[in-house]
Amino acid sequence: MVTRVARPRVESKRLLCVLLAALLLVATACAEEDEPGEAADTEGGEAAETEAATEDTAETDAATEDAGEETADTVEGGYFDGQRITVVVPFGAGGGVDTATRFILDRAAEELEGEVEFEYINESGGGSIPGANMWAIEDPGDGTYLLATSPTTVLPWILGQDAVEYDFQQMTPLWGHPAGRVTYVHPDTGVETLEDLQNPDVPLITGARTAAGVELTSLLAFDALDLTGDIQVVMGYEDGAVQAVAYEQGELNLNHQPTGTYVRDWQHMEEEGNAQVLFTHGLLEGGEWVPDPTMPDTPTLYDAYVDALGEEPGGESWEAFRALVSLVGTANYAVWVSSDAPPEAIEELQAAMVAAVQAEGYQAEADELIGPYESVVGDDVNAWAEDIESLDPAVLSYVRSFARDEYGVEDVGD
Amino acid sequence: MIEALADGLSQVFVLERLIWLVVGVAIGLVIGVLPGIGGTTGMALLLPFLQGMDLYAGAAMLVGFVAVGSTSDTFPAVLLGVPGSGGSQATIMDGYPLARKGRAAETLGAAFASSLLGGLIGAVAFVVLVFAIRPIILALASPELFMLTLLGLSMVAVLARRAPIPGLIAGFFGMLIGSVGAAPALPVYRFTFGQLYFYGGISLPLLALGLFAIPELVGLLAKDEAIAQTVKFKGGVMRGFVQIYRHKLLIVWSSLLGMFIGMLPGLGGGAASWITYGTAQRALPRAEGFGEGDIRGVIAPESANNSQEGGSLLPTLLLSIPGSPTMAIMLGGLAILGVRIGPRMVQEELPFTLSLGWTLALANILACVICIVLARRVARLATIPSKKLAPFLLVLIILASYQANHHWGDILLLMGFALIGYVMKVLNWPRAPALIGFALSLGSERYLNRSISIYGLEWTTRPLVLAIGAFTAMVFLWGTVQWIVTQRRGDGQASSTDDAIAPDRSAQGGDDR
Repeated sequence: MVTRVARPRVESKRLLCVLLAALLLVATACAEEDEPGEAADTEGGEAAETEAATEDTAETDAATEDAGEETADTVEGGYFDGQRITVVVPFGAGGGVDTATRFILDRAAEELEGEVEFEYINESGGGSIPGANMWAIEDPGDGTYLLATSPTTVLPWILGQDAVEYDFQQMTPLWGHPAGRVTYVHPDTGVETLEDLQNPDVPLITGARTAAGVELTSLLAFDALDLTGDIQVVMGYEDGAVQAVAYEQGELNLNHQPTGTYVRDWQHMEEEGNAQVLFTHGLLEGGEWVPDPTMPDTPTLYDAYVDALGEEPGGESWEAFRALVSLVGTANYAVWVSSDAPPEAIEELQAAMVAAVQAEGYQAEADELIGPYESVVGDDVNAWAEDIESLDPAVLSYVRSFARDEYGVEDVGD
Repeated sequence: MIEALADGLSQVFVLERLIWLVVGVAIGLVIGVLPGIGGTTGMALLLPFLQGMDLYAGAAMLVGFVAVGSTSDTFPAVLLGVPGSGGSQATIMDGYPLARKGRAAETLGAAFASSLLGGLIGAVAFVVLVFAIRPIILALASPELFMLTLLGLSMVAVLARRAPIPGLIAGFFGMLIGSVGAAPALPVYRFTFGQLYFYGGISLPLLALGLFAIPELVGLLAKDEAIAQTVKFKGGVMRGFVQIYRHKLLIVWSSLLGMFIGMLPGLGGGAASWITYGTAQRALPRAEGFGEGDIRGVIAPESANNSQEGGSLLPTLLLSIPGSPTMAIMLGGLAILGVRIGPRMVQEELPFTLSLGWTLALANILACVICIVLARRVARLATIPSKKLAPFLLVLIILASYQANHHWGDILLLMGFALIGYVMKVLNWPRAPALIGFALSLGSERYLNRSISIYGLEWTTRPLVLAIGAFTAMVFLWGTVQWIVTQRRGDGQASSTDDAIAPDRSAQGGDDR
């Protein structure tokens, strides 16, 4: 019970709390740099301040967006001068795609004329589809809204899944970073060359997270080798690392992973006699197969095929495999802008990417962080864009029916 | 090894790096306190700092951040009955009833002491096991992992011991909710009803906050009570802190168990605290009062959820498999710092790896000190009349749920779960089994699918599988045995032990959570 005498004190205390909270809100709203640090540092043990600060961190994005828009009117040096570019990353903060995206864009930001700020929004979940959809829906079309993707985002589009509301044929890629895949098998299977795969000593078991992801490229590779019915594919491995552990445990005797990851973390298995590398997917440069720079001495599937079987690979499954490598191998990580954006915006962005990639120290850092490949920018990235636009419907059809009929992927287009 | 340890230690005690450790701890503590707001938000806060930071400083901040969430999440769990994060769900079971009895300060003290010891044991075990982890993880293939999820699921038996059928239903309900979204082993989406919102599955904080926090709030408002009528300050926090000496064995056992479970990929989140809580209830004498306010029901999970961080660092660093969602953040942060995970961590990078162990220990100590200092003041939250507390809490809860997907569906779902939770509360149906079911739903399905696909039915005959299965059966059935015994005794006379442990049952309203 509050007595009459006590009430004024309680009232003024409450007022003080409210004022403090309001002050905090205003301070956070106005601060543009380092606001996460400030908001966190000013946390006290008081419940009121904690509530206010929670609202701060939740409203910070909105508040700083307002602040950003205020300064967007001054356009001096470049198209983006004084503007904020928002990047939607449909993956978790700190993950592979997120890291790669921030890596390139932080450098590109320095190459853009004028004062440009980059803001990253992580909308993870749902296999990156909801995040990419959000981008497609919210895109203002002025070049200030970019999308980061990985094969996880691209494959559902290739497969024509209903849930997908974005369209790569209406986007312009700005930057891509390749990633190759390597396939290896356990010596216990008695397999040493490509031919042996047709007659292993024991049934071949491999894993995958899902048939609707980048693994589809590997599955198509096996299909091109006529192995689809003979290899058991166990689904549901949460990611490549878990799958590689399963391989090392002996649960799987055939495995496929990104070459970068393999070389960095798993190559010891080769030395221990637990892995026999068969082939890498290789990369397509100008329409020709080139070895994966991470494992340059390992034959590409094309070379291994020719060596082992004495003829060139061909047929529907090979064309499908080739198409997928070109689509999701050439640019494993990619950053896009919508094609509706003003041409000068796209030009500036592309030029900034080229400059960033050519800057000193870029390749060394990229090697460490996102894989020792040459990033795809400028003309190369436009050529890649054309690959996407001119995707042969027959090939697409094959990929879709392959995923649906062999691996039960539902909700696939025609 | 000793030189590496010493080297690691000397790397930690550099002023600049210690400052970043404090920053990480501070942010981690706040994130831990705010219910539902978890690792990814924290990661977003830390990321701007991490870019281009000195390796040791950045690692200190990261470890500081992930290590202390499980200390500070005790605050909302005990004081408000709201889970601050996955690890504190089990703490609510006994912590909240204790707070309602006015023993909040003491409970907090005991909890922080347990957290501290758990964290330290976790750090020590981390250093010791850093060499042994690879063979351990390699020995645990899909069948063994499935059996461990089964063990986790069997904890439902403990939580539902007073109402077995409703408890089972709650557990299955949880598993059902957990299956919404992408199926783990098939390229299908389940229960999405054509709404993109559900493609990502349902978020744990939504379920926990909806089932627990809001019904509790509603209950308090209906009775127009504060959470606790008074908070006993007799020695308060420090008394609780010192009391844990009596339970040192329990703490050691819980920490070791928590560490072990933390080491296993795929069993993260609340599994360690639930399993520890459940096995403690089974193994300890006079433990019928668990769920009504037995301090041991707080000590066990709190030790476990701190030591679990030390454990889950192992597969994260050595195999790049995050042992829990917080570890996924750790991985991401380390990638930004340019650290290459893998066997190198115990070879070339050993001093760095060991320095992480030191940082873990330091972070836990720091967190404990800060929390103890704040505990008494914060404990008073429990005495605020609910009419004044409720609006703030409600806003906080709704904001926290909105963090899940930034979609209005979050709030709708929260309200839906709140309705279900309130009905369950009124009917005295245990709600905790729903959380366990949810947490282990996908994991168990995934491991079972793999086991059968790869091993046929042979997987059931593997030695470790049988061992874990036997242990699970024991834990599960012990409760039934106990129950039968008490039923028989109940025919004759009421068991005197039951009355002694839970005299306040009528005052509590016999809430089963």
